Amino acid sequence: MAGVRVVHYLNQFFGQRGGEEQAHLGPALVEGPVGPGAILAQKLGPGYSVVGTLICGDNYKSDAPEERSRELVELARHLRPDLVLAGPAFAAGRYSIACAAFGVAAAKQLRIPAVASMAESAPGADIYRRDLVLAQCGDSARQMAEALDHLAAVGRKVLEQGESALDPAVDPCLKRGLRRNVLTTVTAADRAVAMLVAKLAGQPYQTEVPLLSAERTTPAPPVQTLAATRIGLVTTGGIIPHGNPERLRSHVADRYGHVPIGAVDDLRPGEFEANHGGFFHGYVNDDPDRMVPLDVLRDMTREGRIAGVHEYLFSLAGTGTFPEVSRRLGAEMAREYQHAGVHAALVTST
Amino acid sequence: MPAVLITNLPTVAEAMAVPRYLNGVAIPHVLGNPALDAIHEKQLRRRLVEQALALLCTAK
Amino acid sequence: MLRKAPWRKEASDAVDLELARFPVTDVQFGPATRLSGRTLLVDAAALRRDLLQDDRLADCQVDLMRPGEAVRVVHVVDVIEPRVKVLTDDYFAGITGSMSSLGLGRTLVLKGAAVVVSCALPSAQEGVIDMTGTAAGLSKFGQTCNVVVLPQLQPGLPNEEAARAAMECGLRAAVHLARAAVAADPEAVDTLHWAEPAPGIPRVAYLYYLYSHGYGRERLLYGKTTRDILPTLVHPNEVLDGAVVQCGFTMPSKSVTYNHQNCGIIRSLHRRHNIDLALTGVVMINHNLTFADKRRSAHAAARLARHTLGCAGVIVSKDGGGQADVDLAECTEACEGVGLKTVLVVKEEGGEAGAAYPLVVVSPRADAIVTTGNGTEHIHVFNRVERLIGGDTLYEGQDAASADLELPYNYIVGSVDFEGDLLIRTREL
Repeated sequence: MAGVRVVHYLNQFFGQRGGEEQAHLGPALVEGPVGPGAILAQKLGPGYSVVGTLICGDNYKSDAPEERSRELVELARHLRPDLVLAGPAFAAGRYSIACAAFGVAAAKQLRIPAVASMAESAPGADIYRRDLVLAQCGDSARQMAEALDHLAAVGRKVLEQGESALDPAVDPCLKRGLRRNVLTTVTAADRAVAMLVAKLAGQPYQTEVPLLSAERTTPAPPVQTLAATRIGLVTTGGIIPHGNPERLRSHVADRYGHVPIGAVDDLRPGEFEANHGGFFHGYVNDDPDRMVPLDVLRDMTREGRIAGVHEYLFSLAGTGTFPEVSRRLGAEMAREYQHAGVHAALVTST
Repeated sequence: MPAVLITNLPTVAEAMAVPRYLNGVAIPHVLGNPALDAIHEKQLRRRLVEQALALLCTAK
Repeated sequence: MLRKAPWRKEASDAVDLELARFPVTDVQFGPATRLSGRTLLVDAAALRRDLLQDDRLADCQVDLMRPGEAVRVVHVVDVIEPRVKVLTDDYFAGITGSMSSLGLGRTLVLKGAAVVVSCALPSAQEGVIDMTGTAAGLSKFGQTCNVVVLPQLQPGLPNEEAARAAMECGLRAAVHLARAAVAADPEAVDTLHWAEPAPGIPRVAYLYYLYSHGYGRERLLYGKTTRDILPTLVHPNEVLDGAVVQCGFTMPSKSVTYNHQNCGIIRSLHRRHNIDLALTGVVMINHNLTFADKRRSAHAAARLARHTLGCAGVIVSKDGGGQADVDLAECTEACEGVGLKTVLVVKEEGGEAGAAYPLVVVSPRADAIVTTGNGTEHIHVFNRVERLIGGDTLYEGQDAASADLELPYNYIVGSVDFEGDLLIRTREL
């Protein structure tokens, strides 16, 4: 390939500015390769040149990795890079995060491929593996030569063939924990029949979807006195006021709605409705209490069975929600409840 | 804080190790039954909510 | 002695199902609907007149799409393969066709042609077909010669009527076009003979889940919704001869009628029937609305396969998203629990980037799963759109003529097939 322009990211140490004492260093853009960048340039081969190196202190970066990354990318923009490579960061904490955050920002802002190099055990790997191609390397800087080999190989492949050409079974890159659609040569139907034939004959076969194990959380202690307890209502049925004032999504939720129900005695059709792409709405739209039992809870409050219901219904459409997002939203809800003196939650689902 | 889930997919609750959950009526009407008249439907809803609140008061 | 009227053939005179193939590689408008070699000529006015016999339609447009053209259709509701029974000159038993000829005798098939129904129905989710560009390479309907029908429904029709009218419009169009084959000679005839299971060959059943919950989320078996069925045994040739029709346009992915007509799993089982395994029957199961019904159906189906059909193994396919996974988990537990070797065929829901676990729930005994790809994965569909059929704006607001449209695979009609007749799968990165 003619003239591929590469920008290389290094921390203060590999950028030859100093050790830990220089970790606060702000960004510096240097023309051409620096330190290991020279060897990286060789390994990339003819047709590729490291036109510039961004050097940045690990602490400067770690203060605000995403924001700082965006700044750094803008500094390098005038070099018109075609490819961004970062590291190798080996197993370093701040450095691996800095490399990955920079790579993600570069790919997004400059719309070019980016690869960061780090060890499987690096903290940056866990956080960023799904967002960025990560070239594999060892834990220690003694493995620099091999690390640069891998970074160059993965960088070239991503630029020349695209991200989806990478295969962690074959290429020196980390598993991303992603499943991507590809075209294949045998239909799913044929593969299923072949798998059944093998299973019936007691022959080995390979499942295409590995099994999942759930992490257990410790159950919270039970409510002691129901009559003194305010209940928080949560629904994944996507119940919202008519017109969706908070503009909530009907799938792949990324936040939850705060539906005001403090002055509501009963969820009436027409005033409230379901906003959820994954189930048949007819019954719930005819009576939203079928999804969120506010009418019954108001009765129980008047009878003194419970102390009351939190003034906001937390609502989202529970279809396609990412597990990590669910965990985050659940924690946010719990924090809100704690501030509001709500000590138990009733969650209703489709 | 204790939470109780009312769901139509108890298999999912079990798989996710949800400590307190209750099986509702049906996917499109977890706390209702359109085949019943309004009074009986509300009674059904009340029974389910009572069961759910009882779970909140149970150690797990 | 009573003599049989000579013009009336009994269905029992016919043995097996014969799919007579008439390949279509081009489609054009013409003065009469007929086959000219491999070109399907369509008399649009005659087709329109036929479709407008249904007075639920105020009007209906007809358009054509050919592979390689820079054309896009949106608001797709269903895709149907043009077919007709020789015996009764109709098709889709129980809806636009008679029950007596279902699954037996000769069916004429315009192979390589498809009817596409485009209609903006209430609560519909998007469906797009391109004949060139990224999406065309991923969808089987980017390679077929498509006759698009655009029914306009009478104002004030209740939703259920509107849905049925749009569906029947497509079915009628499919039969109308297939009649062009009556005067022509087939290029090949596929005889679907299912021999009695040979001794020593393991017997299997296909557990075929279908999703019926209500308006716009229905599958019809012989024209009846599968909503409250208990597991129902049918012959594989009934499925391959139009017994299952879909009316499911409010779901994120279109499990189109074409896919049921060409059921991939049944075709694959037929290729190995009495070689490595022997299919004893197809069990239709609904993805029921209540958990008790899900569990009930799963166990009923498992027992039907094991004790009534004497099977050693089953293949199970799903027809929906997360709640469908619950059925499959229950079914796996029930089947493996009675000693049936179970293989699942699943469409994944791992999110836009494929980062989430692909299924909502899975049984720990599900050690044999085949994927049909991640329907929720987002892809940039690049295409130049010189002609746009069905609407200017997608339901979610994007400009339908855009040359770079970000869509989930679910909205690319023909890139999803719950019955597995497709070459898309996921790979772990």
